[in-house]
Amino acid sequence: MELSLRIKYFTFLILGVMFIVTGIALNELDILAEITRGDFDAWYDFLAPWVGSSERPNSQLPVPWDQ
Amino acid sequence: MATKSNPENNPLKEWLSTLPNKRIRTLRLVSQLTFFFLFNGVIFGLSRIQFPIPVVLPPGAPYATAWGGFSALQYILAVGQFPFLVLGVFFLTGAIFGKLTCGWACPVGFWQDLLSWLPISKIKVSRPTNRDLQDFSGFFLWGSIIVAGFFGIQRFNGQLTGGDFWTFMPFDAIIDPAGTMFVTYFYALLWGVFDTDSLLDTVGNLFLWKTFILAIFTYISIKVPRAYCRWFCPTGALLGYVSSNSILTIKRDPTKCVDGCDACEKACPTGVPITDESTDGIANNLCILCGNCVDACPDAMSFGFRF
Repeated sequence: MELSLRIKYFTFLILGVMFIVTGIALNELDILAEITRGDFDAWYDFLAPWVGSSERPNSQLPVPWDQ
Repeated sequence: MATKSNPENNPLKEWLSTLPNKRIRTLRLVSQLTFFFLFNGVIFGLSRIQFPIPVVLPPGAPYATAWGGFSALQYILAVGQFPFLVLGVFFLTGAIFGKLTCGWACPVGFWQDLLSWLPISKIKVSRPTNRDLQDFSGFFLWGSIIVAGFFGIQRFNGQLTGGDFWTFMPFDAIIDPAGTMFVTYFYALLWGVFDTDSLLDTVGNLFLWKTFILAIFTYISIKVPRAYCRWFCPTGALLGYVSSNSILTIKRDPTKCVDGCDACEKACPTGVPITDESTDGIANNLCILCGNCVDACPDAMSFGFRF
């Protein structure tokens, strides 16, 4: 039995719980929620360079993340 | 008069007995398929949850039900906050399950498993090379953190508002092959980028670059199983800092090993030197707990816990 290894995973377990609680307390879930709101234009601006299109398409196109 | 066939002389049974035991591989395939559909579950009416999980799942993926952990880490860092939540998720899951999510749930891992099944000759990579090439994943991990952190400090100090998408998620925007597959191509088709007479004028240089990167990673993953996971994936690199100390592990019983046998190592898709590992359990950050070694040698290898 390697004690140092147990100490490491126990440390990570404690750190993990503390970090998750801290992150939730600091509203990090809300930060993640910002980018997935159903705002087509914001998403288009965000994704357009990723996709490569240089022209804004018809806003009536489906936005699956908003379903 | 009909004679009863003797099962001991059944050629089908004899042939089946020569095949390797694939029980865990089958279970894993079911798991990978299930998670693939779960992670893209918006298409089936599932709701999206704003929570990071330790797999590669680009947030721009149209039907994604959650955030890929490393994408979330970059984004939170880039808006000027320390990513406690994401690190906490990685620490907790890594300490308990190691890299189980890489082997059993990650869509990109699944994609590479499918590629490795193609009947194309594989390249055998030596142990030192396998270890050295892992540095790429660390480079991508820390490079992305530094870039996202730089823009995060600027936004925190009010020197930058908004900004291009690559300043929020540099790795996803410029390198990530999952983003190219699941986001870039999806919207390129949806938004009609390809419906043009002059395609090269329409798509940007970044599109061409990402297509090139995806092609390279695809080729390497065909020739070397799980090459992207081994050497390039920053999500795996981050999880790897914790996973080698995980509670869940794979153990080898050396008393049941035969001299000169390395069936477990040959079965390992990430090239873990299993016979050099402690009998306490594999403590190698390349291990994705896929269980291929257990399938290859169920007598000596088994899943276990390190309490």
